Amino acid sequence: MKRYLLGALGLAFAILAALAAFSPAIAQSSATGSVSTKWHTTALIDFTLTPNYYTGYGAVPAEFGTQPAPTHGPYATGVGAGSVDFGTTLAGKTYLYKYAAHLHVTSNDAAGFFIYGEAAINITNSTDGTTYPVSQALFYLPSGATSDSNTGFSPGFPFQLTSGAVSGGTYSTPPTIAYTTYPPPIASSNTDDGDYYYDYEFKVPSDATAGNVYYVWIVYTVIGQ
Amino acid sequence: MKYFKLSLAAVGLLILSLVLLQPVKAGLSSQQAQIGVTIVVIVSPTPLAYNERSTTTVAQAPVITSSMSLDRATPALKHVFDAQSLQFEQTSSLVVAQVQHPLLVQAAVSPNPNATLLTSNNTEVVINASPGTTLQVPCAFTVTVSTTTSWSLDEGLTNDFSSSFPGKDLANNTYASTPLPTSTPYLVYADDGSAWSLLASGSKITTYCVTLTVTVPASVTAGTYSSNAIYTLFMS
Repeated sequence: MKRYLLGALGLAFAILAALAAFSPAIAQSSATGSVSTKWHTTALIDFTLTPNYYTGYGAVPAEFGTQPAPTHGPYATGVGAGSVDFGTTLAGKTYLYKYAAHLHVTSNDAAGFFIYGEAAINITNSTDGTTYPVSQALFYLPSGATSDSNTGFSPGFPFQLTSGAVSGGTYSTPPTIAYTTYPPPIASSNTDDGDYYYDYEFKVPSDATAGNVYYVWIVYTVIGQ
Repeated sequence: MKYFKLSLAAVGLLILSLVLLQPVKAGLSSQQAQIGVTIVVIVSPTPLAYNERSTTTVAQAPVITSSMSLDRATPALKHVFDAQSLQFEQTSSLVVAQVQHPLLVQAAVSPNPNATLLTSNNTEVVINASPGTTLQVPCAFTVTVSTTTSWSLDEGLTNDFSSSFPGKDLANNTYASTPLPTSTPYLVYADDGSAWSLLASGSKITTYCVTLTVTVPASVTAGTYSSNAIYTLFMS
């Protein structure tokens, strides 16, 4: 009986030893294959926004026939500087602001880019905070780099109030807009670079308060296609 | 000779009367206010026809996409497949390169005694339409004349929407109380001799409802088109 037990133990050790000896051989079996890895890199986009981009910038009242010389308010401080300041306007009248904004877009995205232009806030009275819908008052229309044949009655397109999340946007605080969904673009390009020139039209509300200043922030956003 | 002198005198009188009458006409009717309503037509792309899957596509061998993971492999296996055991997170959000710049627009307002003589409840109308269709927008906007002094009101469109989308494709049915039997195409200032058409005249405060009917030619490509409906008030 004792011999039998010793024999059984010996057989068990032999089996374990055999398993231990063969296991590494299984682990070392190998095969070769290929792994395809794909990834996307985001495009590099840059653009400059130049207000009052050409000599002769400023506002003219909407009139047919011979056009008056443009004038501007004190905050349109020079070519390429300041804000788009219509200056003193009459309630109920329409004005064209020539050479208002130039967007120069550069990117490495061969597919091109989209330009979004929206108002961060409505037209706001800086004195009492009352507002007018921006889509009823401020319009944009294509212009030229160094020439401009638009009048105050040239057809424009309304700026829309953004549905994105706005940070800032008071008179002295430039806003940013965080988008979860982008609106329809105001322009697009199928090439990597581009220049866009815009005039603005302002339809002054007929019941706007005389003696007050009204303002709005327009935010331009450019993304790769 | 006598007849010649008489003829000269008649011509002189005619010219004099014309000269004298001109200021009288201006005095009777001078422009007091002018407003514009921007009409934006957004033309959608022509709908695409249903394209049934071809038999060629069906006959093709299906593409099977598979993936593998070595997360739970033994250390020895991980060692052997070290180069292939890279982990890539599934894309859960699209990262977009975005650049943003703001621009301040401002204006000071001064009094205008004529500001409320002629007003509209809506300074821009947006119409969505497809090529080859006709769309009507009942009472798209109103035009109100707020004076009891004798007045006349002109209307017209500044320009065509595009070379293939004439301004005359926009018609209006302008009425004070009851819609008119038919709509009338707008006169286009840029095409029709820089002239407006007379809409109405009177001496009472009146509000007009303007129902627009736009017919988009089938050849118009998708895009956003714009023109201005201009209303001009003349008063004695």
